[in-house]
Amino acid sequence: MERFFWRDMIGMNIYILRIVGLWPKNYEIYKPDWYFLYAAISTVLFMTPNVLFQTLNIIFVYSNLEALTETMLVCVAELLGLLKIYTFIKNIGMLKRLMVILESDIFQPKNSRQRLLVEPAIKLWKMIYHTLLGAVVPAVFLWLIFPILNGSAKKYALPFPAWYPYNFKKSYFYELTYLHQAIGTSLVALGDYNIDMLISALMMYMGAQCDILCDNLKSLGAESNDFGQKLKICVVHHKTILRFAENCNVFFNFIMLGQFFTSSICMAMALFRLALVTPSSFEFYTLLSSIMSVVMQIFTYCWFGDEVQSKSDAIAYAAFESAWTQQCLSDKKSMMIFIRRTLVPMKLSTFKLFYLTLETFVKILRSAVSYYTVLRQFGGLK
Amino acid sequence: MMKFKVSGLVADLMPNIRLIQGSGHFMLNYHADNSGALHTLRLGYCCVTLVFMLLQYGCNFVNLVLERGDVNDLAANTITVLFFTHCITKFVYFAVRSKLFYRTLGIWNQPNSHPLFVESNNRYHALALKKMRRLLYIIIVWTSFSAIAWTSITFVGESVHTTKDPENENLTISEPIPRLLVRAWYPWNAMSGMPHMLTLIFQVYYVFFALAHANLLDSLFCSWLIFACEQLQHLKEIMKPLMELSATLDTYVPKSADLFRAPSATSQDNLIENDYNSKNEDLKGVYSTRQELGGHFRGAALQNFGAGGVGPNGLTKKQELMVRSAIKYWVERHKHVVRLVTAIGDAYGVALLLHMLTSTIMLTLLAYQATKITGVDKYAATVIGYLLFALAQVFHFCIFGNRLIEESSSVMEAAYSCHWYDGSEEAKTFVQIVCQQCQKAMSISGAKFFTISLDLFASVLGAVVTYFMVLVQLK
Repeated sequence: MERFFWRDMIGMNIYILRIVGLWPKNYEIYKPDWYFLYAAISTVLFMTPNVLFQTLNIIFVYSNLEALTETMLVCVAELLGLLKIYTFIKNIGMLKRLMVILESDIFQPKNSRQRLLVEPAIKLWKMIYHTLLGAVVPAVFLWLIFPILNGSAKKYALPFPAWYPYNFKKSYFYELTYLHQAIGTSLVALGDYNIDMLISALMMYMGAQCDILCDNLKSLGAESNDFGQKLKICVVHHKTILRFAENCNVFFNFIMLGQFFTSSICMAMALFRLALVTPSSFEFYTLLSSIMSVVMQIFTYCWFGDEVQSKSDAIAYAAFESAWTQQCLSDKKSMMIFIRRTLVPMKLSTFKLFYLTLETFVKILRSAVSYYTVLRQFGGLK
Repeated sequence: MMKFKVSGLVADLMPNIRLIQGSGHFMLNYHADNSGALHTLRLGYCCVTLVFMLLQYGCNFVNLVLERGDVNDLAANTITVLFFTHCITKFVYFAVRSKLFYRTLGIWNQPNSHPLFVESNNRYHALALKKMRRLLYIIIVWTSFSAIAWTSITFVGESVHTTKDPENENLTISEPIPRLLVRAWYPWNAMSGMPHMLTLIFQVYYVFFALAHANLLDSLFCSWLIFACEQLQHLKEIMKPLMELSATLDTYVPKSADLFRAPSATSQDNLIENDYNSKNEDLKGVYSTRQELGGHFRGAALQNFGAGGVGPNGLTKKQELMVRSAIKYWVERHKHVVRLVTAIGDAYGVALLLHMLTSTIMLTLLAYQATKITGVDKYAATVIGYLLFALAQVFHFCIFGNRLIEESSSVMEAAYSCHWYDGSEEAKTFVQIVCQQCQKAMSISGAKFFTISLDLFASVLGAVVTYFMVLVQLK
């Protein structure tokens, strides 16, 4: 049976990350070579100035509240994207080592039945990935060609209001600035989105490993009589999964914290604006869609985190389904210790502040809705 | 009255204890010379401190009653009174329940020991000591800084308050009041001159000592928690050598490849061994499953017992005895830690409950006061100062309570992560019992009402922010 490469499952994700400049070849980290130069140009020349100039623009529209909230919404989201990209680059070594560990022997599915077992999870991830890609790419594209569509391109309007140290309203400068904004924004958006999906993929892998472990446990002692040794390997497998989960958590701790923090600010501001505009106006729908995108981002994290937790809960039950009754006392004791440990669910978290579960997601939704309701009340009073 | 011998927790916490005694708390033990005269002297000092504190608190309260006409003044004075309620409560609480404190301080006087684990024990003890000292320095600096800041802000801005204009009922005029740290009513006129100077000095003494009373007691509580956490760290660390000690001397290396199914020849395990065994600083734990499954470490201790005809699955008599005594040490030490934590909870739980009750009311009022901030002035500085101080007090004990919960719940993980499957039957039973026992985390509760953890701090912070936002909207 040929080797099962976990990496191939997320091929497209890695490919796009490679285009953005975030994925050095294979299992390596950034070395002084052409790719490093490409990544440097991509981040320092395109992404960072783009976001920086848009953020600087805030200082100039400070007085106008509407323009301010609009600019701030976009800027906060883009700053988050930039923060994620930089944290990703900083932790690329850790990530590459995690990918190496993922391809180790103990994580391989042992037979075709186990390969079929992990199929649904991978399929689900792929479906989510392609759906959201299909939503993100057109949205970014539309936003970028908006000035051309509504004719304000003739008045030298840019897709994102920004401040530049030079006057961009002249002929060639305008086109170049437009192009720069287009490339910068799409790189940031793609990078942001793909980092999200990569982290979800890591969580999906953890879930798949739990499935494989469950399958191994269920078939313990069935045909051969080396229960003890096989149980020992299952225990080692479990410990490796736990450490993998812990290290993944360390990898994306900071990214998640930034995500939750900025998402709540974005949502608060958008809801604030939403409570003040009249429903069924154009702005209402734009704001609503930006809130939906923030909600979807958080949802992917919480969903996959919850998957990991529920799959790790199933391990104890799978261990119980093995043929433990016919074994010697020593093996039964080992089984007891193993089950005791697996009763503690594998929870992923942001510095232990927020756990990535559907409960957190529901809590966020609930507070957003109550915030919006309260604001509408006070908006009405005013 | 105990004989004075410095050992255990008392020895570790001596600076803290001396400071507590110096500030006037009713801690009359732990002195070298406890003869009648000195004892009476110390008791007198404590009583005098108590009288001064209560007098000043009474003056504050009278002022609150007198100025209850104006809403702003009422809110401000209530906050001040509540703030100093903490200090009085802690002072009186300690006086009333000092027996429980003495019991907790004396609980660690006779810890057990085992020759194999002495080094680890001493190391963690030294670590605990270092952390406790550091905490004490931080508390001292913080208290002094707060007292100095309070004193200096008194001399900034005008010292007035608004009252109704005696001529015109609808207008208000500002009337000068004495420039003091805390607004209080005194039976003498403290506007200027000698009475003013004396009252000012008395108030500086009062503020400094009141802050010290509350903060030093909190730091005593947190130091106990630091000690308990370091003991748990010690227990987690010695779990691994204990397992190795009891590991069978079997050197059978199971081939995982044969047992399940052979993976392909392009096994990439070698990538793991070569690439980063030397540079896995970022990653926690050993990832080489070969190391986990095959061979195992032989601690230095084992080599002493390894000789002399040992069978493939058994231990020598000596080794068995050693293992048994090590397990006994571990279990006794863990029970001792549990006793310590229970004693800490008994001693300080009610104080924490009273603290949280007072804090909740005070923080609500502070949220209201914060909505009236109009610019960067004395008023803003005082409100923010109160707010930060109150939140810092809550954070102080929440963070250590949280650490205790985390440490005690990670003992089970430590037990699981060592090579228990290689151990003898006795060791496996021991691991089983440890896993069972340590699933419930040890925590300190405020007289069973709530648990001291970062969740508590987060909910307090969230509540303050919510009140502030709602009140701002209502303005």
